[in-house]
Amino acid sequence: MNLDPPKAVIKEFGPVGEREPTADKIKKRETIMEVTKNSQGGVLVAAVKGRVDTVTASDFEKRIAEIMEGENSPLLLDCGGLEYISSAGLRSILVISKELKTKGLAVYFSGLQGNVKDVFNISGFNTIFKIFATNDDALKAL
Amino acid sequence: MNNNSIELPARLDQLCAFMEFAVSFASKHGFAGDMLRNIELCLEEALVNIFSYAYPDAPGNAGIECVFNHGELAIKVKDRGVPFDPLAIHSPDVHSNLATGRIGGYGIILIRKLATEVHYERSNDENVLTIAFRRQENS
Repeated sequence: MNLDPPKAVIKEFGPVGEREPTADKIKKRETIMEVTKNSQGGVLVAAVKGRVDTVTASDFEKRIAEIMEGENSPLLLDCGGLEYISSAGLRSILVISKELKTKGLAVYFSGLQGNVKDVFNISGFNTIFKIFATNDDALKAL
Repeated sequence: MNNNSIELPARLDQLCAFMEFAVSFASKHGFAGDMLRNIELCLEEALVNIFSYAYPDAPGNAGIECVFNHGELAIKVKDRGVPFDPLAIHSPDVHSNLATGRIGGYGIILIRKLATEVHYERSNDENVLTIAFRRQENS
C-alpha cells in the first residue's frame, strides 16, 4: 500500500485519481496547505496556512526543507493561519526540529490557536518547544 | 448500508470522502468550529491507522457509521483487518521521542483526550472503534 499521497491531492482537492474536484467540494474545504517564507531580523519566518494533516504533511516537510536550504538561522513557524494539525503534522514538526538540531538551530512557534493549540497541549509539544503568542513577541525575544 | 454509514476502500485517497461524510453529518447535528475540527482530527487518526495497518496482505475496506442521540455524536470506525485494539497502545513520551528519535504514537493520545468517550471492540470479525463527542451548547 502506497502511503505517499499523489501530488495532486496536495495541490488540488481529493479524493484524487477517480474524479475531478468539483466547485462544490472546493468550497467546503478550500485551503489545503501553504507555506510562505519571510525573513525578519536574522530569523527565518515561515507562515503556515491551512491544514497539516496526513495528506499534506510530506509536502509541508518538503516546503520547510526548501525554505531552510542554505540558511543558518533559527526558524519561526508562524501558525496564525494554521487551522488544523493532526499527528502526521506533529511528526513533521519533530522531523524538522531534528534536522535543525543537526545544525545547532531550533524551531519556534507563534500564533497557535483553536485545534492547533489543543493538539500542542495534549501532545506535550508546548513543553518541548518555545511558543510565543504573536510573531512580534517572538521576534523581540529571538 | 443506510445513510448514516459509508464504506470505502481503506486508502489514503479516500480520506477526504470519509471526512466529508462525517463532517456533514456532524454539522447537521449542530457541531461547529473547534468541536468539528476535533471530530475531524479523531477520525483522521483512526482511519489513517486502519489505512496503514489493518490490511497488510490484501486491500480491504473501512467504514464509518454516525449516530446522533441525546446531544451525543457517536462515530463507529470499522475494518475487517487484523484484530487490533488501538487503545492498548501506550502513550508516547514527547521528551524521550525527541531524545531517541522515535516519532509517533500521537494519534491515539489525541483521540483519547479530544473525544468525550472512546472504546474498542472486536465483533463479527470487525475492529470497531467508537468515538463519541458531546455537543457543547455554547460552541
